[in-house]
Amino acid sequence: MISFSFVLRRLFQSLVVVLLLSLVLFVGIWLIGNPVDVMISSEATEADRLAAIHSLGLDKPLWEQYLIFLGNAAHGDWGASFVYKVPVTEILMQRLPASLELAAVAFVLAIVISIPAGLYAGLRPNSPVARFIMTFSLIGVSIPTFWQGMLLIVAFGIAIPLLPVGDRGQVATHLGITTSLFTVDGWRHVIMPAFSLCLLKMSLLMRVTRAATVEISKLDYVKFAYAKGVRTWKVVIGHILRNALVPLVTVIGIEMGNLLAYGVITETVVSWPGLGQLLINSIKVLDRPMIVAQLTYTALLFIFINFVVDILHMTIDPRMKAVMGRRGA
Amino acid sequence: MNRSGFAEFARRFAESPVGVVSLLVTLFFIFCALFAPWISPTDPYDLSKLQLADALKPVGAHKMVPGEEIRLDFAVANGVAAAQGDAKGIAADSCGDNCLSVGMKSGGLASLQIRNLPKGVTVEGATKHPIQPWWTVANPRDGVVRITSADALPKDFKFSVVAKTTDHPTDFVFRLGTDAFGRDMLSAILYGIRISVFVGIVAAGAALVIGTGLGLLAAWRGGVTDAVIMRAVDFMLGFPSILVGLAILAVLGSGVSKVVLAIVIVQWSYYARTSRSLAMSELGKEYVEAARCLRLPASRIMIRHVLPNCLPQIIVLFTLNIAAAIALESSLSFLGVGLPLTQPSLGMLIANGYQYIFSQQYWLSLYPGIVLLVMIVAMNLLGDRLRDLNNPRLNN
Repeated sequence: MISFSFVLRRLFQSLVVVLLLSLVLFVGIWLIGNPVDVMISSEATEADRLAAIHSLGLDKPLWEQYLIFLGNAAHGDWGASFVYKVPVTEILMQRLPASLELAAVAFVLAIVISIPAGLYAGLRPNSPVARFIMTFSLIGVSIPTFWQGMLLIVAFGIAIPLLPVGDRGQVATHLGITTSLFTVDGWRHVIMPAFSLCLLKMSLLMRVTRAATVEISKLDYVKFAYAKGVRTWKVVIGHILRNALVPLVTVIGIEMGNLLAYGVITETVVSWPGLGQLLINSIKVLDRPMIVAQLTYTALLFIFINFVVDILHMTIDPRMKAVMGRRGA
Repeated sequence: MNRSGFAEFARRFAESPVGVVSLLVTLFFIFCALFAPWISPTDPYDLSKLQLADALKPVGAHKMVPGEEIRLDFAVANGVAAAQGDAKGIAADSCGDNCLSVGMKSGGLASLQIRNLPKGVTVEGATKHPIQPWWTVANPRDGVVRITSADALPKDFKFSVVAKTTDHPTDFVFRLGTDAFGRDMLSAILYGIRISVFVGIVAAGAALVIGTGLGLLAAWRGGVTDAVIMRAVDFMLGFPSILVGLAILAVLGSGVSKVVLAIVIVQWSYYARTSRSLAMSELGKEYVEAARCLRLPASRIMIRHVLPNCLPQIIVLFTLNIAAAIALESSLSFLGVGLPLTQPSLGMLIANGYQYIFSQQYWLSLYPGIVLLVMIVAMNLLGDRLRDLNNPRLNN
């Protein structure tokens, strides 16, 4: 049973972090310079300049500006993009589905491949297949994401032109959800970027699963289960995998968030029209409202994920309660 | 660690061939980084040495000496032509009553233009300039053109020659091809290793100093100091490194010092967390109690007594974090927000080569990528090996 006070305290911590983050962000942006210089034309008079400063509220004291910024942000009002001249939220919402579907496919791919592979490598550590899995995962954690993305494009897009490169393909709408995952063309587009995105996470999960499996296989209750004559697959599923899942849940939770963050690289390499590509382009052209909104949303997402992972972890593993309690506020 | 202790450590380290190989590879890259200016065949930043004739040459191509233009005046007196000035191998000989051959006997002419011939005289197989009295022959056979006229050639006349020699190869070989500016990729990669290793070591080293310092401080002071530092660590660990790096560089702009700063901000928390937990367990030991009884100052106990006992694990972390720093820097450079163009790291070389992979010019991004991969794998394996040696559970 999760203690209510723990959840409350954790929630309070997260809120403090959000406030701190907004302060850091606000000061950071304030330090960059005055947006008026960018926005008004060079022929504007001093009166125009003052009028612009007044209309943007930049003549108010800093603390008041901060409060206004917080208020607007809470309403989801991030201003209009300098480049697209429409509200930032609108563009983010257009781009979000592409990023989400890429991350979702990558996530499923990573779990479906890594857990069985890690389990096998842990159960038969000296077999050639296990060695292959470990070598694969070593390269997987070391290879830079952008470079393996390029190699995949060269291999499957140019040398053996099996898959299309760039863009997300045809989209279709069912039940009010528009995604390319409803079309065959969409799947052909998504599979390679998703593999490229999940390779790092997949390798990491393989190693974690293998380490947990090796450790658990040596424990007495597993030996006892074998000695009792329980079928191998039952021991593996019911005893080893089940206990190996405890460390895995934390890793999976955190890595799922990371998939969205690392999407920045993959989306740039394969020109996937998602949030990551948008962020990089915004940084390059100094589209400030866009950068601020994206960084804040991603940070909020991570704070939320960390919160959920902590709660989940405590529900799965009662031992964690003591640790979390000691860690305190 | 005393000498016999080190020998024992080295002997145990040498038991794993993978560990030894990864150490050698790592040392090799550090050697490349230190001595890049002396071992690289060319200086890739010396713009005066670059020439477009060498641009985008594949692996193993020879460096070309670009063709030069030779301008020369000839005067014919009594049917004998003589060059006025340095002939540079261009000669004119009579080849009959109404014929004069001009050219370079050794061949190697890309084009030869004869100018200002008298009336009635033309050049065989030449295209004439629509207005000027200029005759041009592209790739003249045997390097020679013939000036002819229907009747006998005048006894005395003058003409000029503009000869362009062809590009010809030199002994210098581009072992890994060249980029779009005609820069030798091998040299560029060596200098790229230098920058990547420099950024990795400086950033990971600065993070080590700051993070370990804060970790020891947290362990020693406890209470509010500990709580503040460790909440900051938790905060930093909550976000993926690539995102933190992007956010910092988005605000500060790109540059070597800013990339180093971004990596330090990402990595200090790893050291702080590790050194704090190590120091906490060390602080409970008897030698610390003894030192306290001697009333040694706190800074001395932490730095001279506790820190050396935490160091082995921190060095493991340092090795792994150099690799992580190099990977992060190359990713940021690839995204175009990392290092400036004047200091191309391996990540930027790969990014520059990216636009050429669709036109089969794979060497531009393939070789820097392989180098980067080998470097990161070697450092990761080295860190793993050192960690295993430090792990008391795996001993014996």
